[in-house]
Amino acid sequence: MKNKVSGFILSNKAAIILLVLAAGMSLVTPVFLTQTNLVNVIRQTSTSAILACGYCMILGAGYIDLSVGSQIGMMGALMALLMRAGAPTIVAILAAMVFGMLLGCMNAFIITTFELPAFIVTLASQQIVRGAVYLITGMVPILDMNESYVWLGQGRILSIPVPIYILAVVFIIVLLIMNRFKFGRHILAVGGNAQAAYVSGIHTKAVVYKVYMAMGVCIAIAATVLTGRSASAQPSAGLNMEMDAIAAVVVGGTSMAGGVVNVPGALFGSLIVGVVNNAMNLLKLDSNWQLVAKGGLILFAVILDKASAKFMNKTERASAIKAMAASGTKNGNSN
Amino acid sequence: MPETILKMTDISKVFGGVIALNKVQFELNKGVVHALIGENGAGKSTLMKVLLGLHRKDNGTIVYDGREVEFHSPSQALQAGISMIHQEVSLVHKMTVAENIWLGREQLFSKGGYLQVRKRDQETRKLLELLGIEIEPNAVVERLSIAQMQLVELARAVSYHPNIIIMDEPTSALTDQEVEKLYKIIRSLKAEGVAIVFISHKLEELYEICDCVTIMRDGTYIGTYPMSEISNDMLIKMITGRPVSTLFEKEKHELGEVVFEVKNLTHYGNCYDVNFQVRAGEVVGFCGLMGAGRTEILQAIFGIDKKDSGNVFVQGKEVFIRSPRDAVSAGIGMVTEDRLRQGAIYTMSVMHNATLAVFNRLCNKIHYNSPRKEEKLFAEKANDLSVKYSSPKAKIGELSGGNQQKVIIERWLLTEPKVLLLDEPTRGIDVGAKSEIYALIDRMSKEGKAVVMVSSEMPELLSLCDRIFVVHEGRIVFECPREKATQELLMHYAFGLEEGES
Repeated sequence: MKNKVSGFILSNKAAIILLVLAAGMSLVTPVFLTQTNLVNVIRQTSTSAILACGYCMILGAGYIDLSVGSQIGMMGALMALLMRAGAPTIVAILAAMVFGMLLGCMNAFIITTFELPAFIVTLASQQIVRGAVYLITGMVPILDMNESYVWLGQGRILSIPVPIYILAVVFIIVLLIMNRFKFGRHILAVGGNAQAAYVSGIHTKAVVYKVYMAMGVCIAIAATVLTGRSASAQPSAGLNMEMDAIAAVVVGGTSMAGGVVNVPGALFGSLIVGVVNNAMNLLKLDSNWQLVAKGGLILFAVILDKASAKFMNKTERASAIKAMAASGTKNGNSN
Repeated sequence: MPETILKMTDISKVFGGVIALNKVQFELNKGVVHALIGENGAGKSTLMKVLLGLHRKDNGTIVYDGREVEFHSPSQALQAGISMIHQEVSLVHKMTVAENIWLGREQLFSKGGYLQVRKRDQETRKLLELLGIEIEPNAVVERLSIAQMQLVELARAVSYHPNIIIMDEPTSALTDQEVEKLYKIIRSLKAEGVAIVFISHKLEELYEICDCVTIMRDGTYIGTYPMSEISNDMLIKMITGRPVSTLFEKEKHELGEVVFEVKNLTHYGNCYDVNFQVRAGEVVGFCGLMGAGRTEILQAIFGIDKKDSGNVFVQGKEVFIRSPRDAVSAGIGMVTEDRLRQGAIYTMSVMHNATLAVFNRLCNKIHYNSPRKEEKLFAEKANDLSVKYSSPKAKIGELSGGNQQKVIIERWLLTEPKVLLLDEPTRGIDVGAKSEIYALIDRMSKEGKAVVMVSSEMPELLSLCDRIFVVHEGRIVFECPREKATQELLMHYAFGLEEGES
């Protein structure tokens, strides 16, 4: 019984941390629990949370993408330039999605063809893409935005910000992919044991291409929300954003080694990061402390993750030893 | 009165939820060759790993040289005088023989940080000559044969002047001549008072070299006896827990048309010009020594390794296999030898592991999978194979080895293959599960599947297969129907001997 309770706590730790954090904040400052502030937190989190959904797939397959932040900047600039040239909003967004898939393909191509670690490849493409953004924009923000595009970042439906709807749709799609669709199962197989997946007839390379392409689509969506909200494409947009998203996903219980994915956890993880940021703002702490706190949070989460895995293992062993002792006495009696 | 050097009492060890050792006893005297036997998975290696500190024991005491000890690493055990020769060669392949032997002890030959290579090589030559091993000290290890590598390992173990040497299946890759050489070395070590733990599956050699024997089964201690007081049949009975004859009794059944054919299969460096046919309902076995190329043949057929040439036919139609994906769609399934690396996915549940290969077909046109359909399919087949699991969502690692293997077999049976390749299907699983898997293989053949199996356990092949092929250095050197096959005959060819020679 006790083990069941602790097991439940450990497997839902992101949600529980979020609740504790929120409860603590509402005691410290009454502003935190107002509707305006809560909606604000979720809206600010939405970009990072959309990326976190994409990371569920990439990390689930045992890969990583460090070029996400740069790609956000790239997509924002691309869409802004297209709109400046007179493209309708939908065309700009679709073009960004296609371009995102293309960049994802390139990352996947280099990783799989030359059998290089994803970490190094995407670290390099992070630099390349960021450089390209600076070159394209000439380091100047692009301000020409379609009204409908800006609405996607700033608008509201039934007084709830549009980005929250967008996040909900992305979240549900990724949740379905991971739990109900072939693609999701193949991601988990490749992340769990790529060789076994290959031997079982799974086209493992195709899975790698697909996760990076899916990430590309998520990036285009996240860039739309971000650029729309500020109504301008900043050359430095998305800087370090991959770190927030990866931290959120890992805090949520997804394993960086692959094969274990928790999509709702990623959402809670994003909200934890969001609440921490929000709390620091409300408490008027120096913004540099936010970095320190975020780093501490990541460490705390991974240590907790490791410790809980050990704990689970221990309880399993304890019950096995108990069973052994019981069978031992049985033998003793029969002798 | 013999002098005890090591006494292990009531040793227990649990992995996850599996009991690997249950109150095991082991006592070793100086100057004695002590056999440690039992089936795969009986706990022999685990016991030795506990001794060396590779695993931490959960219970029991170890008294070594009069003191209670608990080693935390093999190097600590080595310092104390216990050295082990592993079954898998653990040499650094790119280094020379001398470098390997003195690895980690370079300070013996260094002066002010400068390594005196010549002095080291001289010392190595002395050592090798003493043991009667004819290998150059500066030969690069990867150029040596597996037998030579094992002798180098032995030399390394001896160079520590240990009190105890543990040998894990030291003869598995050796020819008769080399085995003789090994025995000679063992006898001289014994004369010097070294205690030797001899882990082996070959009963005949125990009688030749060992003084006493400890038998283990399913992680428990069965008994210790002087070799002279125990007969072969008694040994087998104690190892398997049942009389000799009942390994598996195969019923004869009619064979159908040829369903599976391999022509001129070559994968350079691994297998050459392999030809064979399998009929519906037939079980064909491949035997041979470790590294003879049996696994490689199956892996080349299945597309895990890229073959250089050769054709594969299923039901008379040629199928082109470039990857396991092609093999699966051609109606071939394969249970790989290495369950850890190429079989089970430990982050996944029992059910997801089982439905992995059939998942493509389980999903509808838009690649959607209905969980209910999946659960039904899994449970039916799992029940059929009597897989024991707590819940379909339990992780596969929580199952015993035998049940894990059954899940992997279910993975392939769900795809309804016409041909099933089984590579060491009973490796590392307990006796009960073994006989269940034998029954399963028999049933699959009765259902008209063509089964090809590789096994290192000769009795297994002799009782299950209709025909047996012997593989030596990547080629099929001998074919024989089961009625005519004997262990001696097959081993004769497995060692690469010609007809009439012995």
